[in-house]
Amino acid sequence: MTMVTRREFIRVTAVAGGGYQLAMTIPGRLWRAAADQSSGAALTVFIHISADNIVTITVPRPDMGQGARTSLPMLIADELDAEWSQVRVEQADLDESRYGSQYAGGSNSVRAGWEPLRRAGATARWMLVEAAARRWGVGASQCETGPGVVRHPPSGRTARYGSLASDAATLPVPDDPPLKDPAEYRIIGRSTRNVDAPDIVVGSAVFGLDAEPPGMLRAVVERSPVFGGRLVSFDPSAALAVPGVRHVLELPGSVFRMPRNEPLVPDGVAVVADSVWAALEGRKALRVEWEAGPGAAESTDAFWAKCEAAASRMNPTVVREDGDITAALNDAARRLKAVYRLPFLAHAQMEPLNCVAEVTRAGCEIWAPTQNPAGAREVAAAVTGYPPELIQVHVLRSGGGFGRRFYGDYVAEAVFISGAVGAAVQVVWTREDDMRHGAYRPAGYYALEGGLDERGNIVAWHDHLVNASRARSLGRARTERHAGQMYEYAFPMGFIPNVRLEYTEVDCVIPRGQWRAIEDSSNVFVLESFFDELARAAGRDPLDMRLSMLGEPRPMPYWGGTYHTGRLRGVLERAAAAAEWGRRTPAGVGRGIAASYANDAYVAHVVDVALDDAGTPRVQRVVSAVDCGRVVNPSGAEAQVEGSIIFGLTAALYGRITVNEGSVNESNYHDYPLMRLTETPELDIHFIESRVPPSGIGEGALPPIAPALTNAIYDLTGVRVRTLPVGGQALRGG
Amino acid sequence: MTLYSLRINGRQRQVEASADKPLLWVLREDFGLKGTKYGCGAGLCGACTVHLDGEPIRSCVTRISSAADRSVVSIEGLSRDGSDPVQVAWVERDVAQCGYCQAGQIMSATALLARNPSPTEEEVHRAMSGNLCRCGTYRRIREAIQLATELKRREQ
Repeated sequence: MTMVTRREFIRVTAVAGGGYQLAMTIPGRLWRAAADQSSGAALTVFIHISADNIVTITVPRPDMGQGARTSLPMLIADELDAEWSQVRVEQADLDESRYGSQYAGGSNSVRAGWEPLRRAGATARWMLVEAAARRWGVGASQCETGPGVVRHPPSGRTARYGSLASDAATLPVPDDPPLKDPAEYRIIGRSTRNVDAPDIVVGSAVFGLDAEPPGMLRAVVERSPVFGGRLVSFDPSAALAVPGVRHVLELPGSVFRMPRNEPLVPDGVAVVADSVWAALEGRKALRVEWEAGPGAAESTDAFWAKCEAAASRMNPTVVREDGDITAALNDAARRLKAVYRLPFLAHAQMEPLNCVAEVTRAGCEIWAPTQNPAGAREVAAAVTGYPPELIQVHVLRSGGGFGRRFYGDYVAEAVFISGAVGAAVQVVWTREDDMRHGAYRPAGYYALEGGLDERGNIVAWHDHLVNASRARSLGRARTERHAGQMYEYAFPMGFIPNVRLEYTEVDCVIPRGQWRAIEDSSNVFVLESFFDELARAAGRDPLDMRLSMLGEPRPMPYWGGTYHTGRLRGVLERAAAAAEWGRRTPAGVGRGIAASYANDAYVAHVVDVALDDAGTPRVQRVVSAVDCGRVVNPSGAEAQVEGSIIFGLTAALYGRITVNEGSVNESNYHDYPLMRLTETPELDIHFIESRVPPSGIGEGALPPIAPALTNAIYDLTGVRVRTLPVGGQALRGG
Repeated sequence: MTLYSLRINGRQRQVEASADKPLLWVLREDFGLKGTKYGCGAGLCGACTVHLDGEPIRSCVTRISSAADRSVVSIEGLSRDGSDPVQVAWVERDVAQCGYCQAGQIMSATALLARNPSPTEEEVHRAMSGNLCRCGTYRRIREAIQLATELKRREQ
């Protein structure tokens, strides 16, 4: 009798069960059934074509809602010249030697996939044509493809891809197969529904939390309430007495040698049970003693005090210097000073962090809703000491990522606990755990001064940013300044004759990490708000001032590359026209504009805002213009813009993480509120037609929305919001 | 631990549990129905919404003892094949991004339209305001509910 190993078991269910390789009792809908891959053949690592003409495309990058499982297969399917209805999608395991880079982040999936994935589709198509040509004894140049078939018009012969795949797979792989003329695209550029929509609406889409390899136990962790606190002792007896609880053990997170660019794992006590509920009940019964340590002195109040003190110190790092800032400010006709404060922000993705790991003597297998499967492997290697070849990572759908799932702290926990108890373990974070053990968007203290000449031109811009950076949190030992922390190249830098940008880092134990749009989420708020302040002080229209400063369309330097002023002008003009900028707004409505080139996209927003009876701002309408190059999936791209707007408005109106005595105060959605359906404004989104390769739109629409809102609030009330969130601030009678 | 009997998606089922075990975890772990999601555990996000005797409830704060001898419908039980007008509208309008909140959204929407086939904008907002979406799909949720209303009207 042969023993069916775990891996074989899971592979078998992958083929038979449809969809993912997990024990789901809900049958997939008929058209979602996984292809029978015992027939047909693979053509390139991304494509399998079965005898019955089903095209299974393997998606190399994780989908956390940004649409990679739809947009990336579109690239392949169009060049392959397959019928979209023949396509099924499978998720790739981690194997970068096979698939290339596999992380989802930096708005990068479509941009990075544009060339290689189209090439893969074209390669397979070429091989199918060659196979048909040989079968028919004709020249390949006489053949053409229609969706899913190869045709030889002179003789009228046709063959479906399914009947050719096995032969095609024996042929040499062409070096440089021709790509389609964009005019021939049938799929790229056409709105295509989320491939997982049918599964999502019947509840059969599998997220990380739904993973359940056989024999899996569940664990929840009671973590140090204070950042950097140490476990002193714990009494597991009451927890072990809870029915279903199997193990209670120390999780010595503070001794994990996490790879660079990973957050620290807190010390904790893990309760392992046969169900999540039992584990949660067991955790309630734990008695744990902590040593708070120096982290207990940290608070957001203390952080702001540190920032204020550092802002007036005379030795910041100069990040950019143009002209003579001191002279220019002295000579300015008008000077304006402002301090902007941006808070720490949580990701609050809908699915709390979780991960399944199974560590045995033979290796480590991970099922993770991750943005960074390679990072997950690195973390697992660090915790187990196993070489990478023995670590397998299965990528599951994430219920939102926004940057939080780029990290592997929750992976480390699952791997450690599994190894300790000798079983597959799923670590589940509660919402409170997730809120309080984040990798927060760094807070920032910006001390600005600007100068205008008599004609209302900006002649001076001085900004001293004080913060605790993301890089220092993750790199820990790093002390050198890092690129991208400040906005050296963002408009209006390079357009003002006298500039000084300075940076000072302060110490802080609050963990920081990548949040959607990373540094642009705070830098662009400051840029576009202070610009608006200067424009208003000069008595000039903020749109006209931007356009006149942008001047002639030309490239400008941008962190090792360039951006184009013409494209920034383009989105400003389009949004303004669609919003009828300059026209008087209805009574009680203020209007603001902001734009940025950030995260590889050019985006402008015009926001209309009113105040309700309680003086709370209500966004009425957002008009947006987006230039992200050629749009692969219009529906998906627009969804990313809609989502970024809501995400950014939520942060602007409500977002704030506060810390007291080394612990985060916020814990759930009652004190970290999100925008609701009832608050959703009218959205009017325009994409600039472009032939430039796609540049990504997962993040770019987020940075300018907050300043567009606060510029609109100023327009309405005369109150300038320089500290976020807006919520709670008195806005009337400014 | 007590033996509870209840109807789930049309089938009579039994489960042994402590009285205060949330229905959410009974569904997910005792019955393997993972379509209902855990988002907050405190009735704040709506991801866990199911129907209890036709009414939308947050299963994460509903004890199994409260569901005893009653009828529960989860996302898996809405239709045999995704053919409920709300499900059809959700696909038609391409609502979901990550999709994690959407089972809860759909359960709230179906409950609304079952009791009020022609809701005003205000009534939609009130019914749906407890369902959070971090991906920001609200505009499409609104459109899908409108479409579902139309589809249901045509069914009549």
